[in-house]
Amino acid sequence: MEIPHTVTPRPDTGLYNAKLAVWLFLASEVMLFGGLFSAYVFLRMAADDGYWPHGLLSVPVGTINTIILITSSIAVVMSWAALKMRNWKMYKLWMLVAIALGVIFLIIKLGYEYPNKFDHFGAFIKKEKWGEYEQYLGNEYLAKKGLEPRPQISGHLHEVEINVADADKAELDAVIKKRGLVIAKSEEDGKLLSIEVKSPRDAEALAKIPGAVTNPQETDPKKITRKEQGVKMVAFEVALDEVNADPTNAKFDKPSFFFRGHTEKIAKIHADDVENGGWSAFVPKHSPFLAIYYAITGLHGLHILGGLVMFVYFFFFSEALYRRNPEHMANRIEVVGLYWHFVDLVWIFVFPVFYLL
Amino acid sequence: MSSESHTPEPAPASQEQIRDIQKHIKGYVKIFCFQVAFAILMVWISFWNLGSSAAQVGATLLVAIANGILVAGILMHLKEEKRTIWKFLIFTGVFFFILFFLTYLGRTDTIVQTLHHHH
Repeated sequence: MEIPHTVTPRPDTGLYNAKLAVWLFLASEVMLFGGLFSAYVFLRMAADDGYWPHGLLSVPVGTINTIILITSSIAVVMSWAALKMRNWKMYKLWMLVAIALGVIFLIIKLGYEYPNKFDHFGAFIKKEKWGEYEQYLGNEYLAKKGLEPRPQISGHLHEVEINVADADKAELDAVIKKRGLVIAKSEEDGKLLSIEVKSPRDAEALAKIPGAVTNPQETDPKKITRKEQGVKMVAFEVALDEVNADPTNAKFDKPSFFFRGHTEKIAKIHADDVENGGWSAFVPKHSPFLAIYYAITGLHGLHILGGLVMFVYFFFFSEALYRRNPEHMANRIEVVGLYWHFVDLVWIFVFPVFYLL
Repeated sequence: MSSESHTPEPAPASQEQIRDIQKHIKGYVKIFCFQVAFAILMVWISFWNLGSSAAQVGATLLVAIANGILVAGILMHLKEEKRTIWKFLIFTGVFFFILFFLTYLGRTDTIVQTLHHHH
């Protein structure tokens, strides 16, 4: 039995089946991303002054990715046009261009933007300690100019000072060996260690090492020894970002178009001066901004991946359908194109809200 | 090799269809140029001092909306789409705005009292 209206439109709706279906699907997608953008607005409005970063993401990279997606959208519509004109070779060429651009977009996102953040360190300083870190935060200067305060010190984490008095020694040695860490200094009979780290992930692994606390007063034998956090963070040594190295420089009053890297200037941040749970790499748990950034861009990236799977399928397995019924084939590309344009449309809003505003 | 090579080439498109599609292609090239220009304009506006951050956010999002209208209207063919699709989208749009209104309601929903139950 042949399914009706796969190529020709239904007389009542004026639409062929797949087109009706994809628009319903896109309506549900609007609500999905709408919910996340609504969460973005909620988080941004609730953020205290200075706690919503501006200029954290690289604008040139975001601009390049925007242009890549715009071009890929045009490539898809051109491949549809080529099918409508029965030009198979041009269809294949434009489809290949769309696939290549989609792959480049993902490489930039997953191979450059995300890993850069995973290696970047930031620590939110407790408000009552801002004065002690004025040389890195510049909050007196910012207050005089009527600008938002700067609560965070960020940069490249290269050394941590830890207290390992209660730590499970075997576990500590295992983490040091596994991650190839170097003990730069050992004090107080090996209870206070300065360890050179390569990224904040190393510091997080050290902080998770368990310890055992013995309580001889306990009557329940099962509770005499209890497990708890064995390593206590004492201090972080950070090669500062430009903005923290020279915080009263007027050029840092506003976000910059060009990427700002870290300097060789070192700062020591005491763990007790950091907000509870306020230090980490630039991963989702670091701040509400990064949490919603990864949620939206991650979901968008998955949509790009989904589109690429469909493109690759149509690139390799569509010739038979084209020869049998070229209009049916053109309809399929129109439908997958509608999905791709929607993904492009989402990015058009992702780019300004995360990179520019 | 495959059955595809034995299937004849499809009949060529009519001259009328080709002319119609060529007209579309000219439009797509223009849209591409506009979209790139809008993307650059959006970046420029966001670094341009408009006096207040609200004006900056408003102007940047306005350019983003214009860019989005181009994608939806021309590339997604919404401009010439059937009424059924428009009905879906209007319906979706209403719920979309309700969703954002919930954010506003959330802001007004402040906790004024904590109740302690003593047993």
